[in-house]
Amino acid sequence: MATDFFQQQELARRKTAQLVVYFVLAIVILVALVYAVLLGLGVHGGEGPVSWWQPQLLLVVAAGVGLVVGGASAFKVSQLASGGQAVALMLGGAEVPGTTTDAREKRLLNVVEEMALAAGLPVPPVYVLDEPGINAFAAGYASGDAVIGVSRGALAYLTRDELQGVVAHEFSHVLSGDMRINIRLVGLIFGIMVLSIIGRILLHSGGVASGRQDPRARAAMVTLGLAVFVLGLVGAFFGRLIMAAVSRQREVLADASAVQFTRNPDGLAGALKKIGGLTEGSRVHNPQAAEAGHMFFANAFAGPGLAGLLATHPPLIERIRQLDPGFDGRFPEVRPADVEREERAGPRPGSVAPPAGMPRVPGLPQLPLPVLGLADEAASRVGQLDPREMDYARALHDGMPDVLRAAAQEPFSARALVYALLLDPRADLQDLQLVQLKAGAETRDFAESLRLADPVRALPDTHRLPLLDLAMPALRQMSPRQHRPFRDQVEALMLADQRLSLFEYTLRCVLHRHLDAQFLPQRAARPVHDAPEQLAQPVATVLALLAWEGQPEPDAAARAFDAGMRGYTGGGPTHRLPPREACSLAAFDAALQALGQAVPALKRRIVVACTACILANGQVAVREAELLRAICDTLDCPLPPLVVGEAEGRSGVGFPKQEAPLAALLESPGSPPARG
Amino acid sequence: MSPVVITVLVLLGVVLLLALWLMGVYNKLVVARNRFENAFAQIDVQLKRRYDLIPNLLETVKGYMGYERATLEAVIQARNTAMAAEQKAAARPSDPAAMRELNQAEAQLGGVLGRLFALSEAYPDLKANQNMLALQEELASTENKIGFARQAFNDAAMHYNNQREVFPAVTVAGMFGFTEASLLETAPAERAAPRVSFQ
Repeated sequence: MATDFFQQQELARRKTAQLVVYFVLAIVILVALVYAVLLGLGVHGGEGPVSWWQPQLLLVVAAGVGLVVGGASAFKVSQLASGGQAVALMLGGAEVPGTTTDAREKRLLNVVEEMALAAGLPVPPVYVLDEPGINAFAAGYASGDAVIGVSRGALAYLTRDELQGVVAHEFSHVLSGDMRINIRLVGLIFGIMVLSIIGRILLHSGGVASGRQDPRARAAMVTLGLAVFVLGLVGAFFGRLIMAAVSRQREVLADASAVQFTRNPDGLAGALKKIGGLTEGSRVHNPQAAEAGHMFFANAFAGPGLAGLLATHPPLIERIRQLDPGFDGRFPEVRPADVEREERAGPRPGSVAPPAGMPRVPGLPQLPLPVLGLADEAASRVGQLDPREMDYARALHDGMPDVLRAAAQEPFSARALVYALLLDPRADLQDLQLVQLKAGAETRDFAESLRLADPVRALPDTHRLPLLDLAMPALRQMSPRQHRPFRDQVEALMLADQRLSLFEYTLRCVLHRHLDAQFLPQRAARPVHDAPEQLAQPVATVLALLAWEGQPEPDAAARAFDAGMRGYTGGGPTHRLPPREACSLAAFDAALQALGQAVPALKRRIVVACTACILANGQVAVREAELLRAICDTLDCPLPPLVVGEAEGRSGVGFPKQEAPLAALLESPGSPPARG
Repeated sequence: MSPVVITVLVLLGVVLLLALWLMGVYNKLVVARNRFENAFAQIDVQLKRRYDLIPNLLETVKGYMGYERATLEAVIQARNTAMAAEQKAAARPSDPAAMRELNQAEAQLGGVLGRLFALSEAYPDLKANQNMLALQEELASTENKIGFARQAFNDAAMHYNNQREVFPAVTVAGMFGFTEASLLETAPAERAAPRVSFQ
């Protein structure tokens, strides 16, 4: 549990390598066995002595088995890797629209939204499975395209705390990279399973095609079919054993993380107890779920005997005892939870007591101000959650003005909300953008954006990115044909005012990264950089902009830059801060893309370096935090949104809305920066 | 090596390819169908919202337009029919008959609502009524959302239809009962929906 996000990612990578070894081993054994069977058949049918060494036959067998198992595995992996949404749809999930009027669904959405805000992730789409048991799953390839699914039974029987425990468990899978291993495991087992399917077909056709062929060939076919069938089954059995072992270990970790996130073992324990008390338990009936058993919150298929060995999850009682050592093994009687009584509008009891130092906005709750003291702290916070952040996220969630929250729930308004977020606070620039919007968008979109413009302008800076995170599921409900003009319009709006502000850049990063993943599918970049020197130049480019962003004075900027570089290389100075004119957002963007392909251990260094650079003057402004968020997002390291504040615990002074000097750098890299 | 073995191996490869291909097509169709059925949920929520708004609208209008009893009753009638059709369609978005019924009922409702708004032009007091203005704005915004969600639904349904009609998939679609999805038409009244200006 002491491992941080980056170590876990590294671990996940190594585990994948381990799986590849198992996989190759499995294929080699299968090839040997099939070869032996064929030799046996040859001995049976041929005359005279047969050589045990027939390279030609071995080659054919190796190619055949390799093709079958490898091809089938690749096929399955490519299918599952096409995104969490495809998996959820395959399981028959129904997406919960943000505008839902069902109180139970609403509660689920609130729980997921709070958790996502706390983790610094865009809110994942939420699916409901029509299953009476209590279960849940997380699917997706990366944290950005993850989805959360919950069974109907879980909605009906669990209280809010229990639901939160279950959702936290699933988020832990999302954050720790478990889903990727899971998908590869499923592929492996499927590949071996295919062998047994083929064996069955051979057996069958051997029995049917009796008339035409000579009996010897028929016998050979039946024998071969039987052998392949048994081999496939045995292989799949061992595959499942591996899967169960890996999966059970991950489940225990996810339970522990869930408790760490919510600091409430009773919620998760309560949910597990209810699974035990319910006759349906955690069963999932959908036949498509058969290969995805380990993706679920609890055992999807119950059964005695052998099933225990193959169970993808540790026994229920064991899991409960982990959380509640005093558990006596008697499961409670389960009744549907009363939802109307629990979920009220407005702040709930036990809401956070707001400390000082937040920008005070009438009508919004005061939010706690976490302090970021050390650069290392930021790195260890990536991909983690603690109750402080949960409280912060809950306050953020509850504090969002109703009109904006409603707009974020629905695709039509969510688009207009993004347009409104892009409007510049300065009147002259805003006019330029409005002209652009009026020309480019439909009348009703324009009207909706105007309606939302005022509430958005009144929003404090800390709430702007979370608002975008909240709007993400609704934006993902667009069709590809609707996404294209939206994307164009966003680009046009950003450029309409002739300057790209920092917030605009951040928004663009988050928006494109997550929406393009869905609408313009591309293969995920593999980590290629693992030597720190390879990336020193891109890191320097990123840090230079960060340094100039935080400090207008050349001396202070140079100090910040050096602090950042030291954080990266750990040694003496290797790069000098380039003059401000030499920094452009375009170069920054390109450098960031290169950094995205670093291995996890290097990413950790990059996050440390950026944070050190920002912290060089002892404080973090909202705009710096936003930029850090964009960097972390591009690196696929979800960063909790809490880095806004002053270091060393000095009292906050509020955050004057400053113009980003960076803006001037984009359009005219050569000209001296104009300070607004 | 005996020719039997080679035949068997070749057969194996063909069978495997066929099986994988079949599974791939089947899964793709399942995903596409579930996607457009999900897209209907978004419309459904907004349709319900509109059906809820209509009684309020009638309540407001009644005081001014007592003489237009026939129109008011027609609106109630059309709303109830549309609500029934919506429930049927929501239960099975892939059922063409239910979808056709919803299309008709919505067209009907749009028509009578349009007539109601046209008639209300003759009552200046009503037009100035705050309640009426708010309701009109709410209705217009709901119409917009329905329009956008309908477009997304139609895109998803069209995508599904295209997927099931291309050659190899069409055989699978026939075997496993993937029927054609019907699109949602634009109700005539929507084009005449009251525009609210925010200038």
